[in-house]
Amino acid sequence: MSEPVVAVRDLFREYKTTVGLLRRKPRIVNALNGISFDVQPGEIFGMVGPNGAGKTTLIKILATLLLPTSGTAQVLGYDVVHHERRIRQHINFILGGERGLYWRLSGYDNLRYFADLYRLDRATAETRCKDLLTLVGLWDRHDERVEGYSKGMKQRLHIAKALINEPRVLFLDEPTIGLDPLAARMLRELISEIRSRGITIFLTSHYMWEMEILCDRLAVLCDGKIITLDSPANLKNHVNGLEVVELQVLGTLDEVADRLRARPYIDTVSLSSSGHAQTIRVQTDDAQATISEIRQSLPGIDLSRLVVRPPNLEDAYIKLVGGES
Amino acid sequence: MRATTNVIRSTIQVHMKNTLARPMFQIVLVFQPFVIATTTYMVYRDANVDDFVAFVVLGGGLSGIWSAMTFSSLGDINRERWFGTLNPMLASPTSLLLVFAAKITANALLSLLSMGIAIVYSLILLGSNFAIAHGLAFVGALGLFLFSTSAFALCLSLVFLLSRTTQVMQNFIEAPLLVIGGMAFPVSILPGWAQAISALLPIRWGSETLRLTFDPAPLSTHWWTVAGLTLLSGVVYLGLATFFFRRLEHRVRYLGNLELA
Repeated sequence: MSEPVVAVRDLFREYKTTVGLLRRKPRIVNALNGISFDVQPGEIFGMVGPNGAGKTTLIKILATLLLPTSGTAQVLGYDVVHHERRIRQHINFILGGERGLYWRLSGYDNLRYFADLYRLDRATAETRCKDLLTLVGLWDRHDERVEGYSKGMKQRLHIAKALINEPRVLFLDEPTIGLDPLAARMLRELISEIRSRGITIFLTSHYMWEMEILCDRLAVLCDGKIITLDSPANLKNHVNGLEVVELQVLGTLDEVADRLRARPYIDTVSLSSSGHAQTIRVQTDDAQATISEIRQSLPGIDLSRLVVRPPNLEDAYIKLVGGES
Repeated sequence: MRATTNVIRSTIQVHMKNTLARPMFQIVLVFQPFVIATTTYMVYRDANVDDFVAFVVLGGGLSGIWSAMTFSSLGDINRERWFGTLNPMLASPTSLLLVFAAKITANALLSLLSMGIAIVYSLILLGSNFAIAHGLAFVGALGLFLFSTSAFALCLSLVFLLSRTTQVMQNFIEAPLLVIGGMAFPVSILPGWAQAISALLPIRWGSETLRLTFDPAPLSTHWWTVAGLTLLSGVVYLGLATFFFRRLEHRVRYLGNLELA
């Protein structure tokens, strides 16, 4: 096996903060709690986990923006703490959201400036800016100010910016967050195209089906620890033999969830809210008994939106992180 | 070398485009010289002060330069933090020190507009009373003022990288330093402790070097001494910025506060 592109060993990162207004007490938050893994050349390595699990902290450490508290992290064989300048030439990143661009400048001017920061000569910079803007479908609007771009266009410009130095490793932190389905699909196609250029990609996202399509391997991070690391197909084995009963209602399902959790045939119960609606997802080895229990718990409720389906990667993830989504 | 020149040139271009699009900066550059020059003129008009012409011209022009510098060193950091562009800058192979130096140079060049406006306005306001006795020395002194103030601003900008509350600090230091920097009033009228602080500021020596060029008497050794102190203070602050930069970058990476929480 070839040398790993990213090698992380027993990595910790803590943040010091204070609580209280007048009597301030120091408080330590452990964002990463001793994680270890390798990323192989050319693979798309995914990392998923609940909000606050430590994904962005990890990406910032690997992108040389943040120092670990202890442990080691190497990118392309260089230590992130001491050899950050050697690493920076060969990596790039997107930290999600719309920030990281000059909104009052055009898309082309943004790219051209970062080309200079990456010390490209003028001819190379101009050619590459045009090629990348064409790749991400923004050449037609390259001279417009970024403030007039849609969210999807800004995200594509981020991708172009991240490729400006032809990186060997690309760190993408939730690149499709907040995008409409069409823009998100376009971005996924771009990620596949980037991978075909031999670039190693470290990707985080909350969209499990997206990770299933894109990633070769997937690590599940929870409370700063990697709880499992495997291919998406193997991760789904965690929910083999189970079925998922899913129901959405207007109102609250908290009591139903509590009742179901006490039943022996129930594996995992998770709740999510969207506006006034709440959705309950139950992983069970007895779907009929689960449905009966729901009927008894919710007399008079229309169960026409109740679905029984085979489990997917998201269900495996929910099981692994203990019902949090 | 060419890559470094490209970084400086493009940073200056990008910074000027961003800055000129901001109404607040336009006010500082264009209107502040009018306001300060007029106020100083009113204060000195009936007072028996020999070199009040210099205070009127320089009060207007230098306050514009100083405000542009504090904007450059502090306000711009806040804006970059808001835009989320500090992280990509830090993660690029170009040193943040070089990027900030280029940004401050851009603001220094833009701030010359303030001095130009102050001179033209003073010509109208003061009529025949207006005269720069040593034109060449004035240009040289202005260059020294810009250099030393830029070096000071570079130091401030690096320190304020560590904090997310730069806006508050910017407002806190801008006006007091206008007074103790000797730009609109003589430092000699300040209390001893304020004069001691003033002696550490390049703007204090720079503004005095400029003011002395309004005196019709031949340039004395005192002018050369003050000009030398202006240069020295600039070199010292530039040296401090360069010396502490690596340590500061390490600290910034430890704190991880280059973006809004």
